[in-house]
Amino acid sequence: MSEFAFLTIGELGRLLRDRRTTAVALAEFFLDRLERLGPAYNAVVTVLREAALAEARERDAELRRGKDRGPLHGIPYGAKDLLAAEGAPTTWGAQPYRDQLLKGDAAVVRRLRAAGAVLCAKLAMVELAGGMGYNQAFASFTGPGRTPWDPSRWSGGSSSGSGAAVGAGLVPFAIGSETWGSIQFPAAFCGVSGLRPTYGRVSRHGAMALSWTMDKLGPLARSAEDCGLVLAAIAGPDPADPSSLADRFEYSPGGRRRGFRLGILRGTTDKTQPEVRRNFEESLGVLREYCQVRDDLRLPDYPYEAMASITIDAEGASAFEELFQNGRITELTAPEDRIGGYSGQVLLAKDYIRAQRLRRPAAAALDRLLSEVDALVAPSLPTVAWPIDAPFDKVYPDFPGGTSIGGAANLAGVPGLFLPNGQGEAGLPTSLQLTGRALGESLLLAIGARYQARTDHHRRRPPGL
Amino acid sequence: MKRRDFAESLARAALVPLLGPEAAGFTLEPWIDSGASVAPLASAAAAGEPGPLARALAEAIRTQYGGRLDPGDLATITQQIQTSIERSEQVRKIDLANGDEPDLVFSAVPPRPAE
Repeated sequence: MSEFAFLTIGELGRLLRDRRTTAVALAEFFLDRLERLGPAYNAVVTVLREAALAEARERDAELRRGKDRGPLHGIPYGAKDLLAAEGAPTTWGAQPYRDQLLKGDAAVVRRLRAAGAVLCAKLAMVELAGGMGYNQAFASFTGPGRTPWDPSRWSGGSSSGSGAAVGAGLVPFAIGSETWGSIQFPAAFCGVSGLRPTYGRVSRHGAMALSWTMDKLGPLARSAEDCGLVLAAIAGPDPADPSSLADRFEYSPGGRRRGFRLGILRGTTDKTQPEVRRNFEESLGVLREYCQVRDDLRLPDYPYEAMASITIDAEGASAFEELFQNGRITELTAPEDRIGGYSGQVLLAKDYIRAQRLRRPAAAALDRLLSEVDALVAPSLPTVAWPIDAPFDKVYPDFPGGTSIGGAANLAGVPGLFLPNGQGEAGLPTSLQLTGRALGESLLLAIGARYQARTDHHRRRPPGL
Repeated sequence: MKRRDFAESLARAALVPLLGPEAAGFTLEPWIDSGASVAPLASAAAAGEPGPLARALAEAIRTQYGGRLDPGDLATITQQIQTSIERSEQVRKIDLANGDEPDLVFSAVPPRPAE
């Protein structure tokens, strides 16, 4: 039975409110799928059956009493295993933390509970969110993440389980994190929608830190609209996270705006797979129905990727210094992760600080570019999902991609929306990304929702599911 | 190649105007205006050969953690340190004024307890 598996949050919510199902029935349905199908994708660390059913019973009782917490009331979800959840291990995907029990819930988990969502599972991830420099899919004690579109291919990382679980219909939505690419890759490789919020939009309290100044938490879901509903529940200021922004986020699914302005960076489709380029061109055809598109934009000249790498290396070296001190870095799964963090241990303070000094003018320059349009549009990645059994430097060497916004966007902390936009090589999903100004999630979601109203890529299911 | 290195490689084309095509590892496309670009980095051109600073910093790693690292590990780490130094040299190519502050979050008011 898979009648619930690929429904959106809105569709599941209507079934609940029409009394055609219950929160307990939904929880049982997705818990069964997590337990039965999760292992095939190495997507799950811990299934929270008892706690989820207890929460679901409460949500049902509330609905019977007339208390409705909103769109997420009674909706099951999964959380990347870098988010603390009282009573369950929080492993950070890494053997040294496999038995770690943290006190209290992450702010995101608390907020989703307050919104009525039911936490069903802690989901697999690349160890330490990839901060030690993995070079292969097998970089977690749970094994390589596998995309439901072809389990011999990688689900992407570091939010591997979050992408695979949503892609396989094991949960309606999941929370992932992105420091640099960790929502983008799983969304693209698993054929789901993903949203990287503005840095500071969502509290990081209770989440593993890799890079305090670059980590972002965001949803992976069935649609742009679902991403908006989840973001509305988890966004907002939090005194416990000094980087959290005061701005509130309210999601308005319809939106009144009619036209949008999109920009394309020159060279954005260079060295991409032919199918990726073809699907991108077809997507532009759809977008042009309601957007003006200009293709003459250039990224301002800053070494964004070098700055981002310096930032992550230095902050990650401090965040995980204990692993170097106590020697447990040697317990990580991927051999390259066992030595990849040492260079950060001797990164000079002046170099880190210089990168942070340059960050503000670089972000300002990017903002000036983004202010010329409502969003930049590009293929999310230059290829489909990578084979699991090959080192990353051996996969698709002919398709490294063209001009990319990813490093600049993550360094500057601006939002990105990732949407399925077709099938590529071997029937694997391809993806489209929209990048906007800081706090510009509403525009991205409005553009994305209209794209998905005109297409059915986000409705397609992996083979056999 | 790390996954992050792959992400970095996706963006190197965008650095061509800044670094020059050889340093970025790309052929110059006709649309790219490199007229105002900074000269290619000497160290980037010599990528693959750890310099004295990389070797000195690697020695600090060997001093602290050498007991658990074999010569092959140390060679890899030395190379990674060289890559890191080259990234810092890229960043240093952009001028900053004395008053350009680091974009760090610090508040004299301590965070309040969790909500």
